[in-house]
Amino acid sequence: MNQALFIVASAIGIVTGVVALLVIVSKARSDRRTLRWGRRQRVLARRLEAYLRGERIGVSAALGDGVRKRDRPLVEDLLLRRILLSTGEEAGRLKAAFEELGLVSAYLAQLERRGWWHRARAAENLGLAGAARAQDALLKALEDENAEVRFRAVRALGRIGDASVMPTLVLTLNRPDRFSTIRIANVLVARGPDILQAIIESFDQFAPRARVAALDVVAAVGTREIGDWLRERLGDADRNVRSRAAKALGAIGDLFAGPRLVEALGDPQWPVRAVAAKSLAKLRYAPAIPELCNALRDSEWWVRANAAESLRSMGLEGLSALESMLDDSDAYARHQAVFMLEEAGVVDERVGDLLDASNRRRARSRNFVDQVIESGQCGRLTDLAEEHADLQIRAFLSHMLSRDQATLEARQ
Amino acid sequence: MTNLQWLIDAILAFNNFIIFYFVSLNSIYLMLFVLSMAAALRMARENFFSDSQQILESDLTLPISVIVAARNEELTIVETIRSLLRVNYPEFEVIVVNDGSTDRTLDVLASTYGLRKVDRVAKRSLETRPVRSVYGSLSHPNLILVDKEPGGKPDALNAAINISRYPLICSIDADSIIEEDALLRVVTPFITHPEETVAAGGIVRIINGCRVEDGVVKSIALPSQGLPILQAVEYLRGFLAGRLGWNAIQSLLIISGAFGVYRKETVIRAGGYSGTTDSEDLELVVRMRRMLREEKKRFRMAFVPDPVCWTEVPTTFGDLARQRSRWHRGLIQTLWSERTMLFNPRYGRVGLFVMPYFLLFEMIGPFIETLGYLAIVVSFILGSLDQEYLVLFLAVSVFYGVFLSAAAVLLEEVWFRRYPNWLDVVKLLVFSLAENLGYRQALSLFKIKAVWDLLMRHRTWGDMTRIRFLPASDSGKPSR
Repeated sequence: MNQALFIVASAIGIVTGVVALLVIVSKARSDRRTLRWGRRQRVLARRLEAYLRGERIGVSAALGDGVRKRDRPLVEDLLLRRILLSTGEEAGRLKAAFEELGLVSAYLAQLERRGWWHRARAAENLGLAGAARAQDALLKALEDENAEVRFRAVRALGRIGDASVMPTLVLTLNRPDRFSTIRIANVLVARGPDILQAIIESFDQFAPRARVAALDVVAAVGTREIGDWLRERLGDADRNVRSRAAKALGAIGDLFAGPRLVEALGDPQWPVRAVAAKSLAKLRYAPAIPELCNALRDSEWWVRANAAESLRSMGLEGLSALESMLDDSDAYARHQAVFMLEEAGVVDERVGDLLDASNRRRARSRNFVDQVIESGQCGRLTDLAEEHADLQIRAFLSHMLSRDQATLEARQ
Repeated sequence: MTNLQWLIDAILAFNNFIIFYFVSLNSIYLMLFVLSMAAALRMARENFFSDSQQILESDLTLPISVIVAARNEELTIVETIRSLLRVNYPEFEVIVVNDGSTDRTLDVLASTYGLRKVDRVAKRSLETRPVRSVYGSLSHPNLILVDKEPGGKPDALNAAINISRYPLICSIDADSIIEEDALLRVVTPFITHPEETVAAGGIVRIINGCRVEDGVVKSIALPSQGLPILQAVEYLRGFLAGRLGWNAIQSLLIISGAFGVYRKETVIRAGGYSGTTDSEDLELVVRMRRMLREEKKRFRMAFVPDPVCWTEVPTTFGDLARQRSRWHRGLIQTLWSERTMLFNPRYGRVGLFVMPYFLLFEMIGPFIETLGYLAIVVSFILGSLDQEYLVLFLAVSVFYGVFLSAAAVLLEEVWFRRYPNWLDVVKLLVFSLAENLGYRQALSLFKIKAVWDLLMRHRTWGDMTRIRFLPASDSGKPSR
């Protein structure tokens, strides 16, 4: 037994020693590499700059009599980082550099390698390198067995693909596997309004999750021309589609969507009502004010909160509607109205008018303050009673607060 | 002597049990380490291009409410909030809850960020102690301070959830600082698996010894004191060789309260944070797992090793004892409150493997270890101690402990490389050895004390002596 233990202890001791040694070696190697790479990369970066400024015809010549094998990863790294920040002529030169150094061909070869990470990296790099000739290979990579490779191919096609790849790209939203629709949606968003037609044409073929993502893309890049199609989606059977369509209508600023969004405030599903309230704010659709006031009494918190925000964003008409809610029978509607009026600075403004010379303004502001106190939401008033710049107003407000408090207590 | 033969037999039987227990435990550790290695390798391959910029620019990235419970945190809270306000993230709000602090936490925050009372209306999804006031900031519109009656950390976090507006919540400890890209990274599982991910946590590292300026960790270094370095090694092992492994088999039971992101709707459905245990983060995760399994939902909880949260750790044995006692009480309370999951196939591998592991090794382990030491003493007194066997067994035990810690340091050095100084890497290796010679045994005693505390119904939170973060220009010792 003891002999076995001795062997085990020795083995573990040796392995531990090896691990400790590996830590030291790894640290030494990484420090050395960082130092050497940093120095060499600075030299290469200067030469690359000269090429990008057009001082040299080819990148190989600029980097100095061809690129040494051990410098290739450094040059590749420089090019990949630089192309993310480049546009116009500079981007064109960088793309040419990828071709001239044989990197595009190397990436195309890597797309066939066994390790998925090689294929994924190759797909990503082909997109960054702007290698238009890789389009077919990337379309093939959309069928790769590995999700990450497929996603990187989508990204690359999003960067370099021409109009002919749009329908295929859009349909990748529909993949039944796990690769994220959100990440693909981002790629589609980056294509801008060009993608809209393909989305509309493929919409009926989408699975429910893909429909929602597609509507998010539409919200991000849509134009008013797509308003008719989006308004039809408000009648969809799926609540997620209805709410995303409502969001998209607000995002694209479809001026004709107001009445349909007001209708959506009565949708049986609260997410649709909540989003409709928000979109009405974006459209500044004033005829919706009475319905939005009504939505302040909704049974769902998010609908009430969005309706209040929406009223606040409607300018004077909306603020006036919020003021009219101060004596509402619904306590929540009153509180939300006070909060919005505070946020909009109306409470401070009215308090400033408490001792105004004009009788009308004075009476109006005192009535307003009374209503706020009655609503039971006096945080800002209490603050102003302590810190308002005008001492007389402070005293008067304190008096109102204590008087009304006493009245409230007497009532209770 | 024959009268004591039964005792000698019992000790020999116990020795055999110890060997079996030791082999089982270390096999699990080895399995976790191998899984961690594989997961780290996969992550390194997946992360050859960062998606952070894309996540940052996307309209589709889920907004986050960052929630912070603060009680008597006047020394560190300003830096913590400063670090939170400057994170790279498209849309987020920071909600700080002052849980009845008796120091100047509220005043310090109010004066630094120009806070004023607002009448923000909150949805009361979770029951909490009364909220006194809500403050907003004109200079930082996404900062909200909630001042409430003291109710404990879980109650404060629930109050923050009530007032939060966004679908994801991120809990951060008030004595912690997160890196600028930490939110972008930790939210990745919610983007790659949007329908299934309900929680994700990042790695927690030790801020003692690091230099902080404007809420940013400017230089990373280990502290000069031994106790925090021992904890640095322990944290590395716990996160890199432990949590990464559990994550690889989708069996994560803990998302650290210091830095965890949750889907708010799931947290609310589970009933929010509970004040019934002393470890609200562990309890919440286990309760969420139970609920989701019972609802037969597909879900994921993820650990992401590169988003870093820097946190302060105890610098005295007293603070450490209180902290670890609280953690262990929390573990015991959680295992008790969710005991229906134990050995229950209905809860999958968490019920059949992970929770039994926590019961048999994490909870009972300290007793077995201490009993083992007692058995050595008794055997010595009875003259039945095989000294050669003892030395060899202890050597195996210590070497194996050192191996696991050194392996975690290797993982750190190969994939993360956070410590730039040679001296720090050497310190980590040296303390990997030192950790097994006294520190680990002390932790076992603290855990035994936790059971005593539970039996005596002591539920002190165990406030830690707070230390101000070291400013980047400071070269002296931390000021208290």
